[in-house]
Amino acid sequence: MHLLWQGLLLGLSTGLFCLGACAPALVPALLVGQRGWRGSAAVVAQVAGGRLLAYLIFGAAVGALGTALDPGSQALRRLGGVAMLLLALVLAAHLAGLGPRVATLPVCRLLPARVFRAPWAFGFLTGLSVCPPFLLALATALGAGGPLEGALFFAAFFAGTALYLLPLVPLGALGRWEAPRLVGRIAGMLAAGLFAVLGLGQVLLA
Amino acid sequence: MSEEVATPVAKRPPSLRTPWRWTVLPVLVSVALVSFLVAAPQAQRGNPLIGVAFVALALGVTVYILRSGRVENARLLIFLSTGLLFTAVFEISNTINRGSILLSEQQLATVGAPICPVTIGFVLPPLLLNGQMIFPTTVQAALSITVMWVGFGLLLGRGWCSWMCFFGPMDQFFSRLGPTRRGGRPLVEIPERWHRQLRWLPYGLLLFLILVALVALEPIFCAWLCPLRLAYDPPAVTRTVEWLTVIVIVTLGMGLLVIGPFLTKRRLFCTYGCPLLPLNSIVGLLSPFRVKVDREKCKDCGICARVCPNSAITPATVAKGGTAMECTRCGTCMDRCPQKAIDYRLIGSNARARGAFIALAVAFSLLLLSSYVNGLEIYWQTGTMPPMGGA
Ligand code: SF4
Ligand code: SF4
Ligand code: SF4
Repeated sequence: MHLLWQGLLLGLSTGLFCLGACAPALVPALLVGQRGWRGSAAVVAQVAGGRLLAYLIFGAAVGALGTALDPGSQALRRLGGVAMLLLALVLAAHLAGLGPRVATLPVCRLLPARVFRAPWAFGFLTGLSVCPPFLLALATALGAGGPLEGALFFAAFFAGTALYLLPLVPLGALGRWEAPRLVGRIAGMLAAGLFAVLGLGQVLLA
Repeated sequence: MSEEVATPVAKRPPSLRTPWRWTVLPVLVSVALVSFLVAAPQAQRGNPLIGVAFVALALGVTVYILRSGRVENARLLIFLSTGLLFTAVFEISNTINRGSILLSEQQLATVGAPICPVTIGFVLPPLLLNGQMIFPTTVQAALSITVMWVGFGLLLGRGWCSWMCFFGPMDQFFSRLGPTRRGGRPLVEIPERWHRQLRWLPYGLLLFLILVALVALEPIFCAWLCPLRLAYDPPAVTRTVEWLTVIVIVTLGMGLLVIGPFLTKRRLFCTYGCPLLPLNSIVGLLSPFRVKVDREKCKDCGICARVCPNSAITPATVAKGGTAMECTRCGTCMDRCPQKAIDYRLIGSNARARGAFIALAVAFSLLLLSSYVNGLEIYWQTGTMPPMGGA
């Protein structure tokens, strides 16, 4: 239960980053084609389904890896620290304008156009993209205690982040306005600093 | 044939003086409020003479501001006294009740720390969402300070930050003290294009602090970053990590509260660093009072933008007839505007609201001030003082 709550909270609290990382690709993908409200909702549901599938598979794998590593072990803590450092770097690079290419590297931006025609595949791939919240979830799920726990954690994380993504998709991204973009950027910079300190501490002191 | 020479009619300089007939009601309101509140059972522990003195003060200050048309001097007197007396009460209370003005880990674990309104934005979300109190104080203390602050915020908007907040006087004092160059410019100017970006710092900071509070259940601002700890609850230093904290606090404190405001004549912490600012500004949107510019009188001279200690009025906002939502209703721009084009107005209308705003701001700020004077008087008489803010 605690794990679910933790995943949900993490999703809820980092969901705005999800918006920043994937929405620029997600929104155009959803806007192509003339659909009514029902058609649009169906596409959103497919994208969300693909994303959830990716999260479940990845969560289970990460949870299993965590068990193999013995939760609480020094190696696992160090791995968590490295993930945090990576997160800090990705986030800082993204915010410094080295941008979309780094933060959403694998899929969000570089997807071939045809993927947009299969919304679930698009959702699946965005689910695997190395965006900052995903890295943070990964760091937490490593200590979840098993594949089932890892999958559950990621399912809850999905629910949290989806809450932000879904209502904002039809509206377009908040990032269209300068103020929220700047606020997000500042919060992200501070978060990058914090993750760097925490990650470094975890790597050095584990 | 004699030619008639037209005598030039002496043009009266523009003024924001309130006529007597419009002064009486606000004065009555402010005097009645202060009388009623200092006579309330919770406030009666102090000397009744103090109550009487504050009622007289409410009368004098309200009449002075309205009749002179100048807000700044009287407000500064109240605001800086608030800072000074609050600091005295705070430090005395901590010395008596926990043995030191310094806050050590051990004291934190046993007696807790006094909660301040600046923490509301990141303490409330985890408290309301999953019942976790992340600040070492009681839930009751957190809720009562929130209720107090929301009340003032709804009424006066960010007026809280120029009339009542006990922390604001620090950067106000140093920004005021800062010297000016020719043309009334500060030694160091913050370019407007920088301000347009920096303005969002407190909003980003608050978002970050909320995220961390929800995920890690830590008030990291209080533990690591708060420059106010330069004066309030400075950490007792025994370990390396506490040395690091002190370095951060002193650097930020000197930069945002002392040297920075002195050089820029801007209230830097209260403009770019306070995590309560976004909530103050947003709650303030519901306040009935606004500061507006009369575009017919305005000559676009730019003086208001130059003197605003919060950078809340800029040529762009003047062109739209108002201020940014971060305006603290301090009155500085009104006093200095040569055309007297800026004034307090009622939301959604052009109705003048100077009397109503001044009556409420004076009454409530004097009320807070009287509670500190009472605290000091009790200490004078008994040598004791109750602990601050739920500590
Ligand atoms: S900005 Fe913060 S510290 Fe400054 S006066 Fe307002 S609430 Fe107080
Ligand atoms: S100081 Fe007065 S006249 Fe000058 S720009 Fe501001 S509002 Fe206009
Ligand atoms: S705009 Fe005027 S009233 Fe508002 S904070 Fe600036 S100087 Fe004070």
